Amino acid sequence: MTRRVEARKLLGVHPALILAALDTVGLVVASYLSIVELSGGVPTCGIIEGCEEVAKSQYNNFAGIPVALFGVLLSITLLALALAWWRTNIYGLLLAHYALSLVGVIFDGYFLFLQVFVIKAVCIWCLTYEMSLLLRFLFAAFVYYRQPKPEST
Amino acid sequence: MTTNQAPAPRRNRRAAQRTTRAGTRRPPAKPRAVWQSPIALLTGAALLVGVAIVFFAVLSQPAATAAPSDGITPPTSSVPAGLADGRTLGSANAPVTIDIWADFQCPYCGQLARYVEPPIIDQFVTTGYARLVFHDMAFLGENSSNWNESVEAASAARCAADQGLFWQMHDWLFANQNGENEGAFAQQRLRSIAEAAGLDMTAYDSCMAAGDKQASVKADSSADSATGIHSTPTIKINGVLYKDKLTTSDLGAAIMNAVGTSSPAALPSLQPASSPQATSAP
Repeated sequence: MTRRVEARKLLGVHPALILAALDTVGLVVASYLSIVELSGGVPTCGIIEGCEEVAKSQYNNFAGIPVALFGVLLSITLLALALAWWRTNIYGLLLAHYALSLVGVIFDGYFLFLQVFVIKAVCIWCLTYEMSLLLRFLFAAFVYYRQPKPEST
Repeated sequence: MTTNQAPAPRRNRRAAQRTTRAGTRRPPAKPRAVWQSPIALLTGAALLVGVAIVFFAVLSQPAATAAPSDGITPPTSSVPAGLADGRTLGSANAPVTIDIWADFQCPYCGQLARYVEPPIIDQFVTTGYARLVFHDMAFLGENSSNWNESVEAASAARCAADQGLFWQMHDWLFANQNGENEGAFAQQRLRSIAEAAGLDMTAYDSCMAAGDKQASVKADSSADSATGIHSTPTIKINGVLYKDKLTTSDLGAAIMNAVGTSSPAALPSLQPASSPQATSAP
């Protein structure tokens, strides 16, 4: 997994930088939600309702920790993987980004299910994060398929 | 007779060497099956980890209860006699005041009421060390079109308080939770719960129809939300936000800490709580 393969550029840039940009979007959203949650407030949703109800729901915590904090940790890890892949071209880092974002997508799918069918309210911030994570996963898969594979030994 | 043969041309020697090497070369490796490729293995592992996390999350949530039915479940605990005054339970002279903000639809509030409060009441409320003060934070039914189950359940409890039966209704409501906005506190079922809790139903019907309880529940919830109560259950012990686990041991430790001791055996002697002093429900 430490084999290095020159990344095939996309739109003239290393695909890791596009992944890193998406990770940064997710990190910003999750950080905002975490700060609001830890300060005891509720996220501002403007004219779109639902944030308050989701934020107040008991499903907003997992093992006693706000789910947004897990989003921050996941985004930081993914961002680190993307930047490391950009700097080193180590092929395994792309695979790690792909696998970790898939884990996050599965949990986010469950959380979206809770919002729609149990809490019956959708938080637009949470939805933005979920969409960004899905995009990161799909983009990592796309990059994998167009990326030259290392020689098998 | 000997013949001097000319050495074979270099080209021929190399061809012979290549042939020899080819004979000893390992056969080409079989191509890996698709499922053995790194991406397939990683995808499988990630799916397993993701599903395991979701499974753990489901297990760590309060149990989703069965579909609502008209069957009413009695509470497993009873309200101690002579300690209730409106939405307060315990002596007005108790050194510790435990304020609880809850929504009758909130599953964690239900767990608190069913499993944590009864031993706390036995150990600290009936002995005069603490009193419970219930506050409504009825928000889970906000998006309901007409019958807001959170507000109506809280209003039913306030109607019960008018009859001196708030804590009985409190226990019956939490014993009959059934998801959020799933009909557990639909109008007819809520009436059945009130009847089972022993309320005078004529008074209950007129109280619920008047609408002032619903208005006061909404007003109190909004007012408390504005002061920073954003989740349920929220607990304050002598005005200090309780942040530890909702377990009997942790909550008990916090109460003992508020009393100024660390062991139940070292609790200072108090006059046992008898009939409550005049206290007003918040």
